[in-house]
Amino acid sequence: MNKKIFTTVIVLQVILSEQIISQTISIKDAWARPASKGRNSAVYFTIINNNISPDTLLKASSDIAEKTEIHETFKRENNMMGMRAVKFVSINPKSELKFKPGGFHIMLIGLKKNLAEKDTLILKLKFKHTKDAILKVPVNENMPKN
Amino acid sequence: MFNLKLNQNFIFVLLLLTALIILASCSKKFPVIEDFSKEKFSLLNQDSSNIFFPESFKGKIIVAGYIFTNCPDICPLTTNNMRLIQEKLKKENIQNVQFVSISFDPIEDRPSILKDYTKVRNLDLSNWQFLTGEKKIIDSLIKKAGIVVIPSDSTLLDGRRKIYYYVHTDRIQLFDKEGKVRKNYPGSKINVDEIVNDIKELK
Repeated sequence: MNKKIFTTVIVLQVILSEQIISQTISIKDAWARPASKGRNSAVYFTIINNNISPDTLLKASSDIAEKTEIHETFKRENNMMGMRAVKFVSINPKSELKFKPGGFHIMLIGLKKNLAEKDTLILKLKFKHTKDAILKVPVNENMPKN
Repeated sequence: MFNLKLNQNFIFVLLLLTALIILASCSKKFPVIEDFSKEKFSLLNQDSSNIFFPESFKGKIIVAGYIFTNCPDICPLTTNNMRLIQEKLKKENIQNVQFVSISFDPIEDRPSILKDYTKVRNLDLSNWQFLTGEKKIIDSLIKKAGIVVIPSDSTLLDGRRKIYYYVHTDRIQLFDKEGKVRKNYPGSKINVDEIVNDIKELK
């Protein structure tokens, strides 16, 4: 009996910690960096593709910024870092893809208002096969610890 | 009487040797990478007050980070790492350390923009200044600091405002009390314990 309750609690925790957008794709651990009005912020999360076929993140959008783009940070020689826009990101079947500091991120360009810690923003992700994901993203200076 | 004087001389020589050994090991561990001790780069801080870098902070160890405020990923990591270093030093009651974040995008990063950058992150500015200045002066400073900055992509916003991005050296720099660069660290991936231990040794 106790084991049954324990299993139910675990399942509920998993459901609550992930923003499930379909039976095949889920997004977890979304967070954004603080930034002031007119500047840029970055959003990070993990995409989980539970399907047996790949999917593609095509676009991101948010009313909080003038423009929203998918970006990637890259490393060059002599410890130099840069950033570039990418047109899409593929997610392999049965795999996780992390958008994280120093890697892929969603770039919020030209913020319409300040984003401080404990604020939240709404982000929409458009996939090739899965229906759009709408995320409520908390603002933190550090990656939230789970 | 003679023995006492001999003992005193022996102790003096021993202390002198110890001091020389400590000095030698310190300069071996922290070689002078660049000498800013005679420099006075005229800059503005986030309150538009004039700062001469590093002259204004002479007598203090300086932790310097190089950023631009339109950078959403790497530079905030560097800034946050500086905050973590500041917090650890405060916790360990280590004083006389000055933090500076120098913008290498001075045309965009005016003092008011830097002020907003600090406010939205709720940074402790008691021993931390954000610096900008004339482009010519900033270019000269970052060149001397070994920071390479190359303009890369840009985004054109609806209001016709263009935002530039840069490929740049990812760096936090440790200056000694005389204004000499003693060690470089990767700004976005710095080991906080390592630099805090280095600061303790340099003091």
